[in-house]
Amino acid sequence: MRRMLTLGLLAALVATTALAEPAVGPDRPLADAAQEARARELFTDIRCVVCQHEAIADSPAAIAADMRALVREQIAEGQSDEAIRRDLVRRYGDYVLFTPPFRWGTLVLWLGPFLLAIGAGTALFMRARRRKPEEAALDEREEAELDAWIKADDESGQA
Amino acid sequence: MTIFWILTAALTALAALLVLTGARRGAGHISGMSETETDRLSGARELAELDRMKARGLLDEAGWKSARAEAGRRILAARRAEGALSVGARDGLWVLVGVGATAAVALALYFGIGRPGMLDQPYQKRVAEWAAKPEALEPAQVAAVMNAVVREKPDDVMALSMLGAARFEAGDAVGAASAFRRALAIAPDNAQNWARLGESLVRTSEGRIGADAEAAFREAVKRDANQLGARYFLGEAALARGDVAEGERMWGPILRVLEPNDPRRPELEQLLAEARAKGDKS
Amino acid sequence: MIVELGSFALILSLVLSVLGAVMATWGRIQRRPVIAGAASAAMLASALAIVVAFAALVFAYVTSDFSVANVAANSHTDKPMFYKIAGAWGNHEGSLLLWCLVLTAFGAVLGLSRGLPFGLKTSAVAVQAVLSTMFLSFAAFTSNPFNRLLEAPVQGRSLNPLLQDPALAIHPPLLYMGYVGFSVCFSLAVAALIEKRVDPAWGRWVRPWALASWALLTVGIGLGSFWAYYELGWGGWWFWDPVENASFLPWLAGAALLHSAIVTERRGALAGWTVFLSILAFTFSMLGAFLVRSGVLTSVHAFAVDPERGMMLLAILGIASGAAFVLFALRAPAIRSMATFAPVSREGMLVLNNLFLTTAAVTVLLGTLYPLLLEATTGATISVGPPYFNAVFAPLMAVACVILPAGPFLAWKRGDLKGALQRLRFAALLAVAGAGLAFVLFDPKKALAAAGIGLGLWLILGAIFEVAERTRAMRAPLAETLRRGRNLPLGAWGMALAHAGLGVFILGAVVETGFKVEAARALPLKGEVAAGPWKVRLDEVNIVEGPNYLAEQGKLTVARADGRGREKTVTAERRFFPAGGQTTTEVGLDFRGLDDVYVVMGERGQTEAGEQSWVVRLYWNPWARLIFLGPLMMALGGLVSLLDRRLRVGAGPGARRRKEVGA
Repeated sequence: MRRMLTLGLLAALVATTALAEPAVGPDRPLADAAQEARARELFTDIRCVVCQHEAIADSPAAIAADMRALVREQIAEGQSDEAIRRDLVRRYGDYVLFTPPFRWGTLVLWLGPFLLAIGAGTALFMRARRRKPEEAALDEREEAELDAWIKADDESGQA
Repeated sequence: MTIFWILTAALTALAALLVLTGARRGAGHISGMSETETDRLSGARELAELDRMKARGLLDEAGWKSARAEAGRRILAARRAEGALSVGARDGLWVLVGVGATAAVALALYFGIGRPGMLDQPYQKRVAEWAAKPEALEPAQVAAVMNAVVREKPDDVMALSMLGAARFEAGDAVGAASAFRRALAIAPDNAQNWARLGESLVRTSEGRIGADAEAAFREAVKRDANQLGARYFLGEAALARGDVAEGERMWGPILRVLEPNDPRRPELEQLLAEARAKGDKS
Repeated sequence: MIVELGSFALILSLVLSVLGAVMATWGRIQRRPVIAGAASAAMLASALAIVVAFAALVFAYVTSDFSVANVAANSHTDKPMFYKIAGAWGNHEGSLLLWCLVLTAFGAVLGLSRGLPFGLKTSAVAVQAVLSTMFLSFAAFTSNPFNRLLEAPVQGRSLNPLLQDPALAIHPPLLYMGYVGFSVCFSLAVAALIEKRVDPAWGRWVRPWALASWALLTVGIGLGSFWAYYELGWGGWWFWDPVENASFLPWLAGAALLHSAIVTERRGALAGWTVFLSILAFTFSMLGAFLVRSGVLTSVHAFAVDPERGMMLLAILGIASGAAFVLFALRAPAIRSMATFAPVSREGMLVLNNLFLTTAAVTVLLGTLYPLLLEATTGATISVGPPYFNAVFAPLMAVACVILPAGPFLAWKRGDLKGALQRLRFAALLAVAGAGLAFVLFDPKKALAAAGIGLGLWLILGAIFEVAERTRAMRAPLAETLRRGRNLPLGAWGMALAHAGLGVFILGAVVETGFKVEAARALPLKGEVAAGPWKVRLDEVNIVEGPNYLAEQGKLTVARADGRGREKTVTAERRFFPAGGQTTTEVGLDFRGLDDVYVVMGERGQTEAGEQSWVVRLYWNPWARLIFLGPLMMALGGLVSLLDRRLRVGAGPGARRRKEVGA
């Protein structure tokens, strides 16, 4: 009796999760450890095209699993990382890689921060060169005036 | 309603009081610390800070002298003519006008945006209202009422069954299945509940009759061979599997019970015929 | 009735902040303290009204009043009570109301402050009131949480299980207190520009607000990161997701601001920098608010809001920041300070600090917005993700971190670099030794990771050595060291703690990212999977029913692969929420000292032998604890610094004659 209900619940869990998402077989890692490591590296750079800003390494979506399988396949076939990346871009567009391409259009993106740091640093350096002369210490008159003002009584208050 | 307006007025009055108190405190500002005073204090603090930094070794002697000079000259240069703070004769009146305008504008905007007088509808109150007049309720509301009953009396099989039925009607098949399961856990010999459980499970999988649903239907038929609904689904599942004999066994009693001119009869008969034909062919 | 009272309170709050803005402006122009006093009080009244409104909204959630559209859209009677309440701020309208609450409340605190010069205070209150008005208008007219439904639905629509988590529930309030705290710095900065006066007195007011906001933001971001780590089930804690970046931008600007404010407070220097950074920090806060709600960015975090309302937020941002930056451009020459310092000095280092942090912020900004800009101008779509930030952001910050420990060793105005480096030489040696040791001991050998470890050690040791230097540890008798330690101002302790915290974070981040191991297998009962030095065995799987979910709960035993140490049982779940059809994972976490062993239950399947199996993913995250301990230390350091000296200064009307005596 209990078993029936438990089975029923289990089945419901499966049934409804099956509705939520097509069943995905668990990932089959590559036999060669070095290749698998390469695959894992690539996974972190490839965007899951249906998700919100997730890499296929992190995404539970079905298409992410497909893309992982595809990449593993290509590695096993002996393709280089570069070739695999180019192939993915050919299929899905620049959008699929998390590393933005290095083109004229993305020059500002890649070089901007470094140029800013160097430029601003240089500007500050130049300004530091043109140092103002050291401020001379307060003379007696100034000291007295300062002292009087700070400790002012009500009468001598207004400047 | 009245309470609402009283509270609204109280809130506005409190706000007005705060603003007027602030205005009065502001008047006291004249005799309080003036800007020159604050400047004096900051100046003293700044110079003391430099002394402290020197004492801690964060500033060397020459640096201290120079820093003190810079600070001192800046302080002296920044002395300001006491910007006269004035209290106008009618400042208080202006504040009052402002407060009044605020109240008026707030009220006007509220009439435009809000719904004055609309009562709260806390869930418990609504459920109690529904429980009071059970005749004119929609299934979802019935489900809500039954849910409240079940929460109080978790072992009430009747309530659980009604909850399940109501949820089923309201379209919440998953919730219905859960309710029926709980009912059956207490009273497993209720054939009708088994059948309903099966139907709920079928609805959750959008018409597909899964193993769990089938099991539920079998339990129903085991206890009461006249559960026609259960028989129908079992028959359908059997035919889907290609088991014609089972299908005929299941649907036999249904066909016997149906009126000759019941529109469902030809449908069932046709499905059986098709299944037989497919069976013969293979 | 309560709900309608809340609705009225929101409107009253809006009108009161308008009153406050008008009166503060008039009071400042004509120098009327009565009017200015009324303005400050109006801000207080506005804040209290919003508190009433927010309480009413929470009440509606607690009673599941589905006649309120916001409640119907974002709640459900089956939600546990704690999450019903948290649901109040877990949506666009509610969180905007929370934003307004914090904005007006901080404005009220500003209005109640004493010791500020009249002109500065009144101008600041005026600016804060204008900001409140803008955001309250946005809330009341376009995103009103009190919109009613004439036909209340029977049940609420939302039961998003991801939001039903304690960390995620308190993460927004903390985050908002941080974001909106910078609004006070913004108001003070604009007021200073209006008054044409930036001096140490002003710095003394800005620094605590900047520090408190930054500390709160640190905790808020850390909490969000920790939540992602233990909830999402993939072991990640920072994804350079656009919304995460949106919260990181004000953090970077705030870090720069609080350091710049220190210089302005002590010496009156860097006036322009501090004012600029104050405006920038709140601009980034507003930008973050816009990015999350506009639908412009794709992210798991984003609120689902129509673009029109997003555009209105952008307009508010444009007006407020635009006006502030224009004013800055016009008045910058007028606020230039006389204070000078040598390039090699504490001030000089802090200028470098400003530079690095600002550049880092620009990097994050570029990386986040570039895809949008590129698409808008050329139509090309690109993605900017972790590889970009690792290539650009990391080196910048690494250089900054190398320089950091030298800063506290330099004197103000003119520092002795050689002396500072001399005193740090042992720290440097130890750090390099540590890096070398790490390279040799850790497996696989990663040079970059070892360098990162060295960097983290450098920061921690730098902080320790600085405190040691100040207390003459090792060079003077213990009694004197202890005495010096007791007399050391809290600010020094806070600084050391915060800098060490940064080092701790870097250690954790580098080790975890570089050396974590992951393994996944479909396990039948009693099956095992191993990752790194740990292995895990699936003992049993049960079905568990929760208040609004069904779960497959696995009990697993975690043990070391070589058999040493103790075994521990962890529970990992996969929860299914029928009402919304979503599945979430509850990760099984085994805290083993600094490391985490992280177990996730996956999908059910069948082994080849026909047994039922479950995919079990095992992660070994070495030194993961440090990733979250670091930010906690930083925030604590900030808190400790806040407690310094603010309490020592007496600046009431009766204290005119009191002169501060040093040491």
